[in-house]
Amino acid sequence: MITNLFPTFIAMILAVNLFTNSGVLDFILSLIKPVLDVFKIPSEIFPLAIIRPISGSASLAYLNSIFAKHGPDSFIGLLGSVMQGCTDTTLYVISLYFGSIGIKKIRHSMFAALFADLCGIVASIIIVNLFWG
Amino acid sequence: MVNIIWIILIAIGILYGILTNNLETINTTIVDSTKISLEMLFKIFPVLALWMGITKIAEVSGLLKKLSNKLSPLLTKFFPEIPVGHESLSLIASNMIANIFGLGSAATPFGLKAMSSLQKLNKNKKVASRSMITFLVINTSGLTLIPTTIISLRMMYGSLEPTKIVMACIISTFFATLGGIVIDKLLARRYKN
Repeated sequence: MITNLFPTFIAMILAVNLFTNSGVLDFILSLIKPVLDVFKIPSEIFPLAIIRPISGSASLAYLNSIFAKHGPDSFIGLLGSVMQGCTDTTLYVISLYFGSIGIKKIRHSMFAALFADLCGIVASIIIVNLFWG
Repeated sequence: MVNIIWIILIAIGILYGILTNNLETINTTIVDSTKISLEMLFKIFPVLALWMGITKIAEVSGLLKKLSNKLSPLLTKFFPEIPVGHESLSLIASNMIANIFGLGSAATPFGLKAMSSLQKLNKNKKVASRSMITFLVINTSGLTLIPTTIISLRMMYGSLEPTKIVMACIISTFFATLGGIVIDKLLARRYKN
């Protein structure tokens, strides 16, 4: 299993790292930071919310780096844990499940699934703020 | 489709590095990424192997089957198109039970079988049926009661209370699933008209 997983894993980590280290992410974050501040959302959590529906292993990798930097019991560590735990890898599941039976028209499934993720992410921010804010 | 996202991320990263004259960082990132991924894989692998073993026990001992038998009758409410007693209901139930216990790797085979079973009921083989969409929306919205991977990751980083987040996860997941089901039912109605 490890040999199956490894190439994909490297590619995903490489993509995420290139994106964060090159400074693109910081640039985007600096643009939206004022909005996030209003809702008491730590800006470092934003990439997790974006990556989560795309890739489970990549978001786990990002959560890993949050834990390493701030510790799992910090506010951002708790928020990251809940965010990672409350939704699933939507894009991956949809492409895998529909691909396996040859469905070409997926109708509103992508929209509805991403909407569910959004509900989960918003709920996790509110709940973590209520519990430990 | 998912692969395109990775390529876009890599391309944007490299392009931005070139534009900001930061090729040094790009180079070290490319080299370091392999090392980081290998280290991380070694960290995750033992925990993953443990949970996969536990799932296997739950499956072989018949626990998964028993729980999914209990769940199937409830599911007919969410999947009105599936005839009562159809095999796809119990496959969907098994997939959900595995997801609820945070056993993603056990859930996937059940999920794929459920999809091909739903395809047998589907009239137009190229277009997703209503039941398929409802199933996927519920599936991707989380459904996890015990987020095993996150608890293990928290343990690895020396959390004082690794399971502290369970309740918050359950509540958030509930809202995600609820939001998904509501929007799915609303949109499905619109498609019909």
